[in-house]
Amino acid sequence: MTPISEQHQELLSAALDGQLSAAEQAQLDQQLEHDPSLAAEFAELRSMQALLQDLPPVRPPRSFTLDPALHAPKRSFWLSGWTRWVTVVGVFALMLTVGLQLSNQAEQAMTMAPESRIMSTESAAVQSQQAENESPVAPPMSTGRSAAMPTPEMALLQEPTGGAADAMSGAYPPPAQPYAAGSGPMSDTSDMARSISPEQATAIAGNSLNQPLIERNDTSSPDTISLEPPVLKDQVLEQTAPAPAAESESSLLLWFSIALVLGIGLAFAMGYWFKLHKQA
Amino acid sequence: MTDAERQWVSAAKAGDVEAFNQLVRMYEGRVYGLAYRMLGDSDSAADVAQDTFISAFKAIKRFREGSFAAWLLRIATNACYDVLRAQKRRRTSSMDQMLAGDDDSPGEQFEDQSLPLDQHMINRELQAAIQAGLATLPEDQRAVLIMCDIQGFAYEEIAAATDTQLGTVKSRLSRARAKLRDYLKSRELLPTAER
Repeated sequence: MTPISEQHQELLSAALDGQLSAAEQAQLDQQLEHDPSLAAEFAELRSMQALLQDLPPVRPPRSFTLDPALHAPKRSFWLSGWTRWVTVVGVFALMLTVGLQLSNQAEQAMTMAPESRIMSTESAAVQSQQAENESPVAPPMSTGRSAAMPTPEMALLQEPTGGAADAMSGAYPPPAQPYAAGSGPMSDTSDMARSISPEQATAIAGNSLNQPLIERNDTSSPDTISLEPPVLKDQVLEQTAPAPAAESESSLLLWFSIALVLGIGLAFAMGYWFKLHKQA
Repeated sequence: MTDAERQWVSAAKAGDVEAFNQLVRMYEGRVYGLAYRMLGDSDSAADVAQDTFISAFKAIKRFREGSFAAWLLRIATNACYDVLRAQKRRRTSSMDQMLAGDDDSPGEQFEDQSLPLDQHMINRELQAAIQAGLATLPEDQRAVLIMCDIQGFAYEEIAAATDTQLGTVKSRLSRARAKLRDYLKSRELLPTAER
């Protein structure tokens, strides 16, 4: 028997499974009629296929079903479904609130330190503006507070005042004394007030340029020059008034977030307990 | 795929083990049969079948539309290839064990135990020879032949199960049949050709 080609093998194999088209099947039938070796080959293949198809099915030695206790998917109660998103939102809200609270506290701490310097500068500017409005001749330095504050800004303001500047230069003690005694530049107005003697105050009062300054203060007692003009107090009150409201709002948010997180935690715990109870 | 199968598959995708076990009961014979014919060893075949179902359950969410049987057989075939590669590495042949006449002969695995003794013996010999002949085939050809001629799958399902083209299935099947025919013929186990 001559070996048949691979092409014929495939044709015979497809014919065994009925995979040939009608035309191919008719062509193969003709070939089988005229080629005994091809026909024998086809018969052997058909016999072998019958043997394989007749093989009894293999019986599994055991069942391969899965044990639900072992193979049931373990779902994470804490991170499943809506609970995941509620947790994320709650934690985010808590973090945001704590962050805001910390940021507010830091901001307050930063603003408290330079408060007096900022306030003195602002009050000087406001009061000089008022002095200008009241007396166009008067120099910018027109209040007792301004006289008692030799800040750099005020020094610049005092320069063009002529007589008043001279009086002030006489009124001020030599720079070496207060700076040697103090720990730094004189920024506290009370220190400045203490450094002016009654005679110096009288000299200042005698100067016509400083009259508005004296008028605004208690002239009966030069020792007790008012260092806290009402304008400054109003300003401080205006600045500090909103702070408690913001603080209480932030605290409210913080407590709300804590309550939210605790509530979520409680809900999870209850849900988990119910789940365990149900399984049991 | 039947409606019941679809429902079980959907439920199994949702994590229902009991629904998946319905699929296991439906296909465990075919999966074990494929593994047994591929490996020639009942213990290895049982291990492969069990691993196949465990893997299938873990991966069932990735199963899309199509033949669930073909998808399952693809997992089983790949598991068989892994075992055969491991056996080659260990240089042990499951066929050697089987032909040595241990208790794990193929006749023990078959369901039909009610035949007369002489017929039963003939069948055992023939089945052992067929199993030996299958073991001589290349793995890819063996898998195609088992699925087509023993388990009765269509070409399309075999192509899906082996992740090949239809033409490749036809070609492998043709070669496998020719080789097994030669093997059985050389042992005079094929019936005389009659036309």
